Amino acid sequence: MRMNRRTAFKLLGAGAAGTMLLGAPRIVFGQDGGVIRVALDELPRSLDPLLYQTNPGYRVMRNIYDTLLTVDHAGDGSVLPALAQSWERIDGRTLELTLRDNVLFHDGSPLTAEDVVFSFGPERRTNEDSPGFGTAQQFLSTIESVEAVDERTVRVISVVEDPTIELRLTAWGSQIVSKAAFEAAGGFDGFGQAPVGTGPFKVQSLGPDAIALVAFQDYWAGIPDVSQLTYRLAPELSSRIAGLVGGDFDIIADVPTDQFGPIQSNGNLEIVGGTVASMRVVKFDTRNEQLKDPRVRRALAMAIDRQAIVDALWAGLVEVPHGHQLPAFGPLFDPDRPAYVYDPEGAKALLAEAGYDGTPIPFRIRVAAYGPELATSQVLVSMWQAVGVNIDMQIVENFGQMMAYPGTGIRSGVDPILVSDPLFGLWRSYNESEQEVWSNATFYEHGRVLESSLDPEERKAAFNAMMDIFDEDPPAMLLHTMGVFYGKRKGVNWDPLPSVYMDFRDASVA
Amino acid sequence: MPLLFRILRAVVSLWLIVTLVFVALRATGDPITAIFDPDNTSQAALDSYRQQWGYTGTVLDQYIAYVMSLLRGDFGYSTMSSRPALDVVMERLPATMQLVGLSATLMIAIGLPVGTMAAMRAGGPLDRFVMSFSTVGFALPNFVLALGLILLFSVSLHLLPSNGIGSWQHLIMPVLTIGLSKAAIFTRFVRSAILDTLRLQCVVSARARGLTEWQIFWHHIITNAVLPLVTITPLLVGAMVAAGAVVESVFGWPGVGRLIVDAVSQRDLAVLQMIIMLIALVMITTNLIVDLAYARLDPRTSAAAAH
Repeated sequence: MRMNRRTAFKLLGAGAAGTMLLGAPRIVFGQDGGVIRVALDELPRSLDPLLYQTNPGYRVMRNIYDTLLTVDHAGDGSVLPALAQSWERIDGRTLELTLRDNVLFHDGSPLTAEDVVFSFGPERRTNEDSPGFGTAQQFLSTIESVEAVDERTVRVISVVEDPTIELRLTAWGSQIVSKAAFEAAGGFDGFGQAPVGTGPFKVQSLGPDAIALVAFQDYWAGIPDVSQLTYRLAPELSSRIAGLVGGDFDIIADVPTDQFGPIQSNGNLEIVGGTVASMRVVKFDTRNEQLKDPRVRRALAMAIDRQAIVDALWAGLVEVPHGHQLPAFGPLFDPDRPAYVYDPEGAKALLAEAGYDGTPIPFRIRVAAYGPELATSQVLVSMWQAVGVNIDMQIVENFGQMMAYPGTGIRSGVDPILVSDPLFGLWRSYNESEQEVWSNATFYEHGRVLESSLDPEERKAAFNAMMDIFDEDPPAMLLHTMGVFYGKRKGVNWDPLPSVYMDFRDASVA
Repeated sequence: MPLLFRILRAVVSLWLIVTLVFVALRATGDPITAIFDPDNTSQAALDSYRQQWGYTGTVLDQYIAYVMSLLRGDFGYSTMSSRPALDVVMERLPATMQLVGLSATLMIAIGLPVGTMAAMRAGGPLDRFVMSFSTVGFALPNFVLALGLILLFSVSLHLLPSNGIGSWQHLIMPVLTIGLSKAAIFTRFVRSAILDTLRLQCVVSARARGLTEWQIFWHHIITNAVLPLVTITPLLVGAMVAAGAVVESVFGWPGVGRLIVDAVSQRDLAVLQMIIMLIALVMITTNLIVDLAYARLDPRTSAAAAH
């Protein structure tokens, strides 16, 4: 047993008040492998990926489930094998995948083609009454069916010709679940409390204050070094920091740059993290009289010194992208795209040319939805005022209030890119579904090419044209990539992905 | 007042509270767009959630459906947890009850003796010390006290866990935070209640009759001072549940207070309505008990009611 001051204290106190109040206290025994305790501001309440998405879900469930294919998030975004060891295009609509041998679920049963078919089937995904339907719509709406060819082979069939079937199979909602366990649990609600996946960690307990995972001894890619992975609820930033400094946590999530000091000043702790695949943007509603003219929107974009915002509010640790693209787009990424210019004089000239008369433009924000949102917005407002634009900044509480029309103008936003292809970034954020806010027929034409063309060159040309339109007739202006920072004990070896996920497959404790 | 009438009045209060909460929560915006970012969620997905969670039709339709299901004993479904709202709240209730129960014990254990001693020696150095300390106690926001305790016991001394639940060590700091701040208020109430009774005629005459200070204290002072304290204690306990929202957040304590905050931000309306009903029920019941206790502690109140 590992004896430290706390366990000693627990033992000493065991006979006293503790037994009277709550019975015998739990005595913590040291583990053979490493133990990692992660503090999050929110914990998922259900561990079925089709029931619970959002950040807490990304951070926990990535370690419980596997997908058929995965993505090299840290590299060029290429597709890698996971539960499927190989895959082959049959035609524009069909992808055939061969499942890996010897993959076991957490309950010891083997993964079969039937589980894969079930994971994408009507009970979970396609039936409109299924609780999973909504979440599955995001990335899997074009997948018509998944069929078993034999024990180890499945075919994924798309409704339309789709260049991104492979990527969709890496996305949220495409996790493979055990059919038998799902049915035994009586469906979504039960399965969400007692999930069975094939991932590196299996669920030991799920409670309102903590989620305890343990290493899965039969994990197909090798037993993880970390034997125990616990997520603890710590909604308050200051208590997360205190818990890290005090030794109760090994990793804490969501540390803003102005709180780096107390962590970095401790020799055992460090800050890790950085850019994630998400664009911080300011969106325009072209129903607003002032914003109808693209020159006004371009001028608003030119008036902003993005690097100053990044340096002042993000400690220079996030990036100002050149166009609505990420390096993880691989062959579609254009490294030669020019940087955005900061040109207040040019902005003034454009505004004069467009005949902007000083009418205030509404700018709706929430306070802290996207990092230092309020501070960022105040900087934006003063930079806009500096070129003569009057802004009526309105703080609202939720999206319903943000979108309430009439009265819309500019608003805060992010464009998350959960799958590394512009189809799930630029196109997903600005397609026809919001054409009352902004529309551009040429953009939509190129978008449809991006959606359906199987020719990489044609897709690249279409994407470039879309990025040009995004800058010339802006539906939004890019500010910078979003960043996520973690405080971490130096003895914990874990490299965050440039993504919203937290992955502990390769983590270890020194 | 007959008991039946009191109960009927309680049910009407509960119904009014539930209705107000129901309307207020829906008036502040579409719950679906409060949960999902419509920028990044397709219309089909939004429609599917709206259908599943019963946010279709007018607010009146939703209200009627809600009341009908309440009458069937169905408290709705937590959208945040994908479980019945009743289960979600009941799972959190023991943690809050433990916290509030121990804090209330601490509050009384400190407030009664200290407040009494201060009153018995009013104006003396002890009284002045207690009064200034209690001013500091209730002026200090809960989160400052909570973080101060964490800084001392977790970060500097490494004695107590900064966060979580599960052992008696986890209880110490949250209970101290809530218990001490409410003890500061309670001490003042005890002091002034005792001071008031010291001026009563019965106390003066008891003293004139030559009773010992101890007899006067037990037979006259405490029996009279207990009435205002019976009134204030449930209010302070109610305030402890409210304080829980902050304290539970700071200590990662999985109680109802924290659940309220999450349920509001995530618009988990069924859970929120369930909690508010529960708190209202507790407060209404407590008031009922206080009324009944009054009759027993002070025969004059029941005599007045009988007339």
